[in-house]
Amino acid sequence: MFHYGVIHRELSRIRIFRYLLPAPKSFQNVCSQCSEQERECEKACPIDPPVIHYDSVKFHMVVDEERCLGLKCAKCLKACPAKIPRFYPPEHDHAVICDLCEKEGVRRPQCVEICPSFALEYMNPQFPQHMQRIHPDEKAACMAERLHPLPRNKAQISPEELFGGNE
Amino acid sequence: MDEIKFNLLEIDLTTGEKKNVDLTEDVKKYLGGRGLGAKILWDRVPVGTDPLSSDNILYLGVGPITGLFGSVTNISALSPLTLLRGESNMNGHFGVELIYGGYNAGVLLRGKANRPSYIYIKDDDVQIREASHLWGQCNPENQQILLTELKKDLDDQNFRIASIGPAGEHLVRNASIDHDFYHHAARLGMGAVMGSKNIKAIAVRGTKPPPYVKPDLLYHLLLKWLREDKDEKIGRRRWGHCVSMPERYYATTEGIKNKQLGWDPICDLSNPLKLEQGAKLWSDSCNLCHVGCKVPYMRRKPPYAPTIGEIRHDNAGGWNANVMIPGYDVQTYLSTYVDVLGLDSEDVSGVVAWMMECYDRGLVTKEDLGGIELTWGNLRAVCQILKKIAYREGIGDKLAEGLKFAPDLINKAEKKYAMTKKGVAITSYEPRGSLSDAVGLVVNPVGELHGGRGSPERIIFDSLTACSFLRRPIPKTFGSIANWARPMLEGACGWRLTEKDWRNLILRASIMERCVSIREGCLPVRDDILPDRFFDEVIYSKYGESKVLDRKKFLEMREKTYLGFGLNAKGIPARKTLKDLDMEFVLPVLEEKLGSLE
Repeated sequence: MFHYGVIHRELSRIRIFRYLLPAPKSFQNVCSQCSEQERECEKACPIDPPVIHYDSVKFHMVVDEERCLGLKCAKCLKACPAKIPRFYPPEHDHAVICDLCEKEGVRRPQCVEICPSFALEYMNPQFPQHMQRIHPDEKAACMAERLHPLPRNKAQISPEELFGGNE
Repeated sequence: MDEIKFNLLEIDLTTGEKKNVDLTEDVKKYLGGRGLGAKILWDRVPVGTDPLSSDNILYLGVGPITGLFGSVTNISALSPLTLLRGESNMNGHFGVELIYGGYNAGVLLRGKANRPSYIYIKDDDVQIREASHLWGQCNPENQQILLTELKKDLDDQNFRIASIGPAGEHLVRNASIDHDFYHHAARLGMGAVMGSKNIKAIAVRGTKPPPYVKPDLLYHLLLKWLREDKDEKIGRRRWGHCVSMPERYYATTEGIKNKQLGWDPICDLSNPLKLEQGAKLWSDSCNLCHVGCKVPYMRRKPPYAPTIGEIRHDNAGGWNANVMIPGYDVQTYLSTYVDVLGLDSEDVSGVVAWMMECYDRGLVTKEDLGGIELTWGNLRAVCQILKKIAYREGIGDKLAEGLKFAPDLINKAEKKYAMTKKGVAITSYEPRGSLSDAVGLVVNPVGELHGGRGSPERIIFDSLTACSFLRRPIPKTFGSIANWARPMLEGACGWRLTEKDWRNLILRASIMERCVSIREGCLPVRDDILPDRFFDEVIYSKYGESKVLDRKKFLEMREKTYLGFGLNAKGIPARKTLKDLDMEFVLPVLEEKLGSLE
């Protein structure tokens, strides 16, 4: 809504992925605005100066949409461990990443504004930002550990195991 | 003003043909989901079709605002359980994928696949794929296999899957369709219809933008809603559906021991607070819902561990005191087992409760049940009998026919102990606790469902495919349901509805549904009634208050309710009402059944 004025979840800069652990669980995936040395996307960009880079005035990552080579390049996507940059050809064939919904110097992430359960916060970094850069698959694997010893495809111990014998 | 078009994906499973059908005119009259499903059934299924034959349809219904207010998918077919109009709701994330796939009038399956198959839908790419590797698999294993198979990268991570378990494959008449482990379109045998079509699963992923006419207006309404409504959020998000159970036990509105008692000490073992403290994992929401009433639990302590479960009011009632299972500790295991097999928790618990009472009274014996000691609250025995039902083994083959047919197949068991209406088990509700609940149960044109699901106000929610759990706080935030629905429809579809248009929409959806049931042989004055037990046997609440239904008062209130629904005193739509609603096409069929409707 904020960027394009439409309701279209595929254009959202914060993306939700859902897994069966086997209990279903959703995980969000959004740019963590890494520090300079850890910015794999910027390092991977073949254009000079990089199309995807940190704007030190606005304090967030930006993408120069005009110069971006689009999905056929996608080097930034491949470089990012969490696979954050997304492309939506043909209308938006450039990397799309979180810009903290910044407008005229004011940063008001709309996902935080709308989140009805206060699951999202906009706050100062608590630890090196790139540590939040976790691929959703990996987040799901971590969360699945909470469900140990259930494997991902079983919801319970079977009655046969529970009571013994062939039920 | 621009108005959007509504597109139905129609798949003929016999020939493999797929086509897009413009249903805009029907959607304008019947919205979507439940209302549109009834219209499609009327149009496309011949009278008296065997629900398990290839002539029946399976309609996965979505509506104009699916995904904006929860994401309901309403599934329609003729019901194998009642032989009447069948429908069932499932929440979760399935419906919104259909919207993003461009099928904003849903998906219609007809015919029968010639081998076990699953349906793959990614935007315009629709395929009927071979599913022999999934056939025979239980939930949620089948979904996990399919998800892993479909996942190529993150962009394909979000396929949403609806599947059936072994019960649906074996055409158990109360089999359910499962989605995401704990969302079920369970009632009225929709899983059996899917199984009869040889369809094991449906996988959907959509990436196209929904063509909403006024996104700004919708966004404004949603913001208002998400910010202002707090009550529902706090209660349900914390404890989930089962929070209502203690209140219902104390109000004598929850069935105990197959409706023989009004109170039993084991009711106190179902304490949502203890369940939360001991086992809650997290709260989980459907699309664009801020309540998050799905609260999965995990049991880690033996003997019933490890088990993941999610307790809803429907299965909480059915698998609890109604079969004398002692509280949530044991129930978490049992309700998960039902889901694994793909049975309708609520209906099959009624079947088991009936068998338990017959066993208790010595009408059926251990030998009749294939060696199972079906005593009250016996978890092991319940698991054994459930497995027999799901795989139609031994006595399970007869019990799998549901309460409409099974009492005639098992001669020794007494029909009068089967708590059923129109063939659907009454499990989670005790009608003697509240007259309005009791009437609410019977007046539903699709058989006994959850209390109040037969009222036009509820039917319209199922037709908009907005979650009805969200409807209670709406008047507080928006003034009234109409004040909320009309702008929502304007934002989503570009329709400008008057108050009268809106009232007609409500009436039309509910009357259409009733017409289908009447066409299939339902006679409201004869069939909208409860078993004699509720009128003849007195039960006592915890504090000794006696509860029984007065037949005369019940019938009076039923009549009043019919009139309130825009029907005549006999529960039948009048000719004039049908004319006003542009529904004259039903007149010849109804008049042939019932005589003149003047």
